[in-house]
Amino acid sequence: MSVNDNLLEVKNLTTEFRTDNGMLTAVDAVDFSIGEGETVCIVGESGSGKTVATESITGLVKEPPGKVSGTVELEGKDLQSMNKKELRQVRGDNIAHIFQNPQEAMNHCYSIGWQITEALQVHQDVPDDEARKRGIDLLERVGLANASARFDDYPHELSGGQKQRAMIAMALVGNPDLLIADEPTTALDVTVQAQILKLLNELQEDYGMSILFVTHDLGVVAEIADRVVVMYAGKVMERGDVFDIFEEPSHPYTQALMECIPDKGRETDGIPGTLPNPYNTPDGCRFAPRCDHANEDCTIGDQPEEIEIERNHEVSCVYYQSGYDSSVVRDSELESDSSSTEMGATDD
Amino acid sequence: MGMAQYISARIVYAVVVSMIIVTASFLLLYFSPNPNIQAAAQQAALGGENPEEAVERVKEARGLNDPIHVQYMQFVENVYTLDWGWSETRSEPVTDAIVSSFKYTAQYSVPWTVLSVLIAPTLGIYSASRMYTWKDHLATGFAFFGYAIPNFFFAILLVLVFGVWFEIFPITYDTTVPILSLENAWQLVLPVFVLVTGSIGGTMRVARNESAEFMNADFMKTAKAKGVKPTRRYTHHVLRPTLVPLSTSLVSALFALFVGASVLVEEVFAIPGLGRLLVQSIISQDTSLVLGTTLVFTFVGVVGNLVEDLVFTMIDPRISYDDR
Ligand SMILES: Nc1ncnc2c1ncn2[C@@H]1O[C@H](COP(=O)(O)OP(=O)(O)O)[C@@H](O)[C@H]1O
Ligand code: SF4
Ligand SMILES: [Mg+2]
Repeated sequence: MSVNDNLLEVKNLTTEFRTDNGMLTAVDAVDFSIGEGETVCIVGESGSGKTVATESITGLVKEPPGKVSGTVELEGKDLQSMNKKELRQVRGDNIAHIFQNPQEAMNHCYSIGWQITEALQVHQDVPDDEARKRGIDLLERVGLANASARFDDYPHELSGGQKQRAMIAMALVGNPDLLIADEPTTALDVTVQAQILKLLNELQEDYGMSILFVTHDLGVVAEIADRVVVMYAGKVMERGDVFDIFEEPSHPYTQALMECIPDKGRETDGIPGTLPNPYNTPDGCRFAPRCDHANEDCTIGDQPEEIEIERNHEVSCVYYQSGYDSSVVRDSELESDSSSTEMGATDD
Repeated sequence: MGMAQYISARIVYAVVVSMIIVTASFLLLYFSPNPNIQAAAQQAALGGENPEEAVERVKEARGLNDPIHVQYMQFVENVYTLDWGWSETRSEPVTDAIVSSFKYTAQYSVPWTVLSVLIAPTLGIYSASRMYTWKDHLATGFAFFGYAIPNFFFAILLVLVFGVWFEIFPITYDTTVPILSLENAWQLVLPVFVLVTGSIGGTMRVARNESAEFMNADFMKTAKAKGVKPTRRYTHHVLRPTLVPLSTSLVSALFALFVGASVLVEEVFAIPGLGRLLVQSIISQDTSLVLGTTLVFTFVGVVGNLVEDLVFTMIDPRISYDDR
């Protein structure tokens, strides 16, 4: 697939919030793109700005207190310059969302069928009986047994997994080009999680849609992604094809996330330390306060520029800039994998 | 418990409550001195007859010598067959007095209820959608004013300003104008205004605070993500869940005013409605009329509660039928 016929092109996306404690920059000049039929995963610890970034795409972030800037282009059309009506049309027809908590994401006062077909009624003026038929078909497609009876069920009558399936049906009803799935499996238990991921993979094939998938779990990324964007404290740390990221995680933050994948044999408590204060992000690399390799260059200026270390694989770390020895950070991954004690070799 | 069972249980409950009220009324009457008997005794004494005999005669004629359960059954039957006795002071059947007064009460109660039901949620949700802006503060200030100012005082104030000084509205209610006339609507403006401000204050606050919770709910984001317009998001996704706490508040506000303030407002504006009927029947010790008027008020309460509960089951399907 050529890089130029991207479905969605996000450039310089910045989202700030005006709060009682001052301005907070949740997403800071982030770029990414999604090709047709492609699955891109945004991964990062909780609080990294993944949700805000994805919700800034179709203007779901409340403004004020939010303020979104940058450009978002869908098939070359700039969403930021659209009027409200056009934007609503995009939401109904082109870009659909599913959210982390299906329980909260549905209105408890309406049947799931009503909620699934609402978009049809609003955007396409489909007659009731036809909308119902399409809703039932979709519920069947997302694997809800006895769909025609469940159509009239209320959310509280469904299990968590069933609710997320219904949410997926709700998202698919307008035949979207892009499905944005924000941690859709995080609130579900592990077996259901696997089923939902499988379902998304199948649906993507059937419908030929693109998926922007958000998760804090690299384990999930491995299941579903074509490409990966690693985000930390509102910035992109590393990006690349899923294979390259797993084969050669090159940013110290990505490496730290790798250590946190539960089924790697070790129990982990996550990465030591916490995210920087979003009101007052540190100069230089956002990850510096928690990075084992940080040196004085890491704490001045802006986040290091992303450097392409191989085709389509970019890393934002000073060690990949010219004049540095990138093996310092690369080796550390080898070191932790093979448990060798090569620390001395990395010192300058 | 399923919905059908729940509904039947609520109806049974309403019947039981109404029976308790009827029974309590009966017991009160049974154990309180009967003015008719005293009157008969007095008359007999004045006329030189034997008061004891006269009392016996009256008692016998009215069935007061029957055993208590027979009297009770008779009483219950009378209540449910709308045989509510004779009003001595008005020289007409109690039911006739009630019906003719109710006509006047309904004339201001219907517009007042309709307006409250429309205005309170609209204003509350509007306020919540503009939370902490000057529009919200204005609406909130209005709500507090309506809530805080005593209705009868406000009524007198309005009569004074708009009736006496500016002479825009009539000072007293004219019963001779046709019900469906502009004149009648005009003379009802002030009482309806007083009652609407009184009832929507608290309810508007409930609507505002309850809907604020739903304004920022995840399902509102879902609706937005589906491309649903803001107005529809408010009218469908916010209003519906807000209606549950809102209708409780609205019904109790309306009912409290119906019983309490309507008496005062009817007095201030001289509307010969149920509130005035109740006051006058008490003052003139017209027992049958007091009882009948009280029964109307309590039945309105019982039926209002029942309807409210049934409406709940339609508004919010999550309401558990078990723990109520
Ligand atoms: N409405 C908001 N107002 C103020 N701050 C917000 C708002 N939404 C998100 N944030 C802040 O933006 C940052 C990123 O949040 P989020 O995108 O939810 O992270 P993630 O999805 O990666 O866990 C956090 O610091 C969060 O507190
Ligand atoms: S730039 Fe410095 S602090 Fe940031 S990841 Fe690289 S080594 Fe660590
Ligand atoms: Mg999130």
